[in-house]
Amino acid sequence: MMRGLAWAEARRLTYHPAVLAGFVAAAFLSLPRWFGGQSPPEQWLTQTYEQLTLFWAPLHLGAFVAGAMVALRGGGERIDEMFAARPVDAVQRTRALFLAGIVPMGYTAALVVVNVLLVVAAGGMPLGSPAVIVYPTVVDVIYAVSLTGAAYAGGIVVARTVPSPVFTFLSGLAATWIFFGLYWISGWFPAYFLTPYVSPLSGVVTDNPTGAPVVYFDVHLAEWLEVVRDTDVVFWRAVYLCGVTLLLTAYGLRQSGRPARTRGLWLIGAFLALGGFLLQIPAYSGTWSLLGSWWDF
Amino acid sequence: MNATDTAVVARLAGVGKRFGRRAVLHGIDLTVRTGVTGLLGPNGAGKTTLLRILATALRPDAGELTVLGDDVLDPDGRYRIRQRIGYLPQQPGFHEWDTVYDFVNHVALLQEINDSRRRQSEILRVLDIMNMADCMHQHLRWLSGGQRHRVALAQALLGDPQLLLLDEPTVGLDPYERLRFRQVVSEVARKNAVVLSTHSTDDVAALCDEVVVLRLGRTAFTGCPAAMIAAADGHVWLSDAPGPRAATWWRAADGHYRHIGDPPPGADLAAPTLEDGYLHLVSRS
Repeated sequence: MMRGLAWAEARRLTYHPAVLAGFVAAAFLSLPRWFGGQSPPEQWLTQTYEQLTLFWAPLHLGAFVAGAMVALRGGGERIDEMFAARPVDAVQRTRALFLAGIVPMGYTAALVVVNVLLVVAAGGMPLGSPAVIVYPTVVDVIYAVSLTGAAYAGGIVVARTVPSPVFTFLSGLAATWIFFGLYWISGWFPAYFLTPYVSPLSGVVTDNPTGAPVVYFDVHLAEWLEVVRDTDVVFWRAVYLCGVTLLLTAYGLRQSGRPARTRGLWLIGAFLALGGFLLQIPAYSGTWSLLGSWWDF
Repeated sequence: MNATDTAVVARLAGVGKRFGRRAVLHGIDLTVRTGVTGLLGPNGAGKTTLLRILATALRPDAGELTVLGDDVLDPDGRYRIRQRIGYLPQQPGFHEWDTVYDFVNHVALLQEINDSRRRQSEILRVLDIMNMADCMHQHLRWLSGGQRHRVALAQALLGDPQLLLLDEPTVGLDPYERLRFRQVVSEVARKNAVVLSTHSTDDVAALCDEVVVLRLGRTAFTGCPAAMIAAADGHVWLSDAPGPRAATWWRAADGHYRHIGDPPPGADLAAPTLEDGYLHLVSRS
């Protein structure tokens, strides 16, 4: 039964306008600059790699809005009353709704993989000065997909908490602007490890600028910085986001009418969210690595 | 249909319901049998609350209630009841951007009609019954109020429910669709039970084997329509002028004044209708 209902919800999301709009916008932002078969010109030394993940933001916004819209369809109480006398109860309906989140996650995976293939076809991305050529990682794909999942779950929960389409749309837009458009404003501890966006790079102060292969001068700090790939931090952020998704799902199920068996979701969600958050801290700037280099394409 | 050759489908004993401090139902005793049971009563009498309790959408605060042999307070019983009932709420909600087919398909999944072929044929059956098969690919948002109401009725018929609960089902239907609705309900009631909450005494007169009148959360009358008409015998009067002592009166289309209750001077006794019987019941102090 759950499979049939989740499948029906998923089928709806495949042609949901918010999901499609997010996909088209992200594709428009991220793909054309690679069509020439070479890396796009840079205005700053880490631009290409940073923008690669920043330009996927519309996918996450689309998933958030789609989650909110499916949660709000039918206007709440009236639709609940319509379905109140059906054997499939509100908790099971909500569960199917969350499971359908696999669709926007699939859209994200597809677009991100196309992005990666275009980067590989262009011979990689230049990074730093003197430039080295780098490639996106499997972890970048995992992170983008997990962020879409969290955004979709967040859309459902926000809409159920404040059942206003205008509010949820504006809050999604504001969150996207703050966390992606102005991502540097959350560059302080602990916000850097808790927000949706994570930079795949960080800068470490170096006193040997000529010896480091990838360095740049930070005008604000008035220091030479060595560019470090933060793949471990991206991975642990993805783990953290998976935990947040499970916590949102558990909360959404609790919102849907009667106490459901959500203890497992709460526990696993809390474990992943807390673990993912804490493990980002020692991994920052490449000082501790669990992953090694298995993630490279 | 006689009460003796019909099966008991639901039994209520002392059922009560409160919303905060306000008691909406007081000790309702009722037996619902195969056939059509009409629920009549003024606004706020408790009809919708009683229907929602029968539909397991609301839990009673007091009393006992079995539907189709299962106790509504038992979670497993409630689940079994829901598999065998159909419910049309007073203000149905829709997934506005769905097509008619997709929406009814969604409800069919909620009704656990999981086999896709069976589900498809069941959807087409109920849409055909409600004369909506031609519109099944239209989006609900663009349908008229009457068409949306027919979709709501169609979803209530999914799975051939043994107990069909309809809250003001003929609101917004044109005369032809109202007639068609009566045909559908009378067919369903040949082997199953229908409980119909309505303000239309015409629908009750046309369809119901049993009438229940609720007033201020209490049962004011239970019986067949003929008994309700008989209750107003000797209380309906026609005259050429209004009679202020009557419980209620109005000027009919033929120019005569129809009175229920005490007659004005010179009034003639008239044969009561079901509507007269209902007004007589609810206008008594």
